[in-house]
Amino acid sequence: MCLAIPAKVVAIDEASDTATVVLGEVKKQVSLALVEDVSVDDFVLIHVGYALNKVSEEEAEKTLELFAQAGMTP
Amino acid sequence: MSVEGELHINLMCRDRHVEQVNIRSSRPMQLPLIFKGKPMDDVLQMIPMLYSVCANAQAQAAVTACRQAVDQVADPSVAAAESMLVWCETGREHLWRILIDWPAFAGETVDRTQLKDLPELMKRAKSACFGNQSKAFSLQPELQFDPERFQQVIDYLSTTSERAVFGLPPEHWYDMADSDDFHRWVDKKATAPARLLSMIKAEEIGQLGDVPVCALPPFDCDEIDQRLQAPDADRFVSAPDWDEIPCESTTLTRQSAHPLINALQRDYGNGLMTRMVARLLELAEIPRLLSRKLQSLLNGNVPKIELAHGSRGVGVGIVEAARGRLTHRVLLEGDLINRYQILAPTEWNFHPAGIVAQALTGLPAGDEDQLRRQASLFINAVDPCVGYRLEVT
Repeated sequence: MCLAIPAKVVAIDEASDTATVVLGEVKKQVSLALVEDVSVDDFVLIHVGYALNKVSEEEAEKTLELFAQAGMTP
Repeated sequence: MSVEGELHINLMCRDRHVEQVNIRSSRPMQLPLIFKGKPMDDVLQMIPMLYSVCANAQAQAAVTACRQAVDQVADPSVAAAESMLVWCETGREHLWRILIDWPAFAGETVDRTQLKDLPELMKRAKSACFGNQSKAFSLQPELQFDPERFQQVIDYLSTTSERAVFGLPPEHWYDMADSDDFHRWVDKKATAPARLLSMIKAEEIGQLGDVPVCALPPFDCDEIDQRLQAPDADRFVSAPDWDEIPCESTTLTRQSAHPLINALQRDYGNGLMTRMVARLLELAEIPRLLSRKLQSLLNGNVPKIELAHGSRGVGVGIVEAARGRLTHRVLLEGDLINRYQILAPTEWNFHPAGIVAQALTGLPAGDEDQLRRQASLFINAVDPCVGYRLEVT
């Protein structure tokens, strides 16, 4: 089944409705078509090029820690 | 490579056709290993966080397996509410992908206004069933059912799909049995999905990927438990077969008895058009299905759950998720998890010799851009949320 990974938003491009997110050392562009009111420093769950929804920093860290336990680090 | 893994689909072409399809997966099959040694309650909290795309289907499969492992019988109303949440999630998934992917395939822009409120839908549905989110899909569930708020969720699915997808009430669309009526609906091009199907008709690619379907047969907990405890279980989970056949588990196999599917199969076989229509049919069916389930719950007319005999610390949960059948198996040692296995529909459908590999073999490859578009359309019709990389060689 498909996984969505938490990532921190570091930049937003309103013209293209996309955000730059950081996953570990990796930066990615994702679409913001599915989420409202996203700001820089928010955490979002990303999945195949889309931000699915916002999550709290605490929830993001908890989820990333679980992925790390499975050896899945960005 | 992405953290979440992906499928690598290589189309090997010769003489202007795809001669062979190689599918390799980097999907993280090792993730359930982290559940070993943990209590079930902890794992039931973790699963929806990790598998958040279809979190409710995953959570239902997990809690069903855990209950069985400890010989716990779910309250029938709780089980009915959980099942309603999974169907809601399937509706949301179909809506999401049809409203995002299909306009893009048709060269249209995504209408964000149609997606408004969709991301919050499952929170609303869960809260309407269990109040506190953490009381859902738990070994100590607390049903706090609010029928009015759940009805609002059904109404949202119904009105959004009417406005953005069907252009008429979804139950009327679901009742369409005749291919002439279907073609009239397509030709009106009243909505973005209808316009994409009209384009597929015009391009004469509705039959694309038409190969015989071998639907994954219904199996019971004992049968799949046997398979998942066999010495080659890890191989089975990454490339499953049933009686040595790589079976399909998709919306098409779920909707295969619908008369419109049967009518379209005469023109398009099991090709692209039939598969896309199967997804529309399931979306159209869900509001009415949920209304019936709501009435049954309110009338106390919900099926009793049978206690699995002699579970001996083993439990299996089988759920029809948006993309197909999902199976979880748990083996306990004392109160802790000794082994946890997840068999996802992606692995059935993207088996190296499965339906996608079979259907993409033989596609015309004279024009690489056209081949990529056609392959993407077909893959999207089977499973629109799997991450994949397409290579043409």
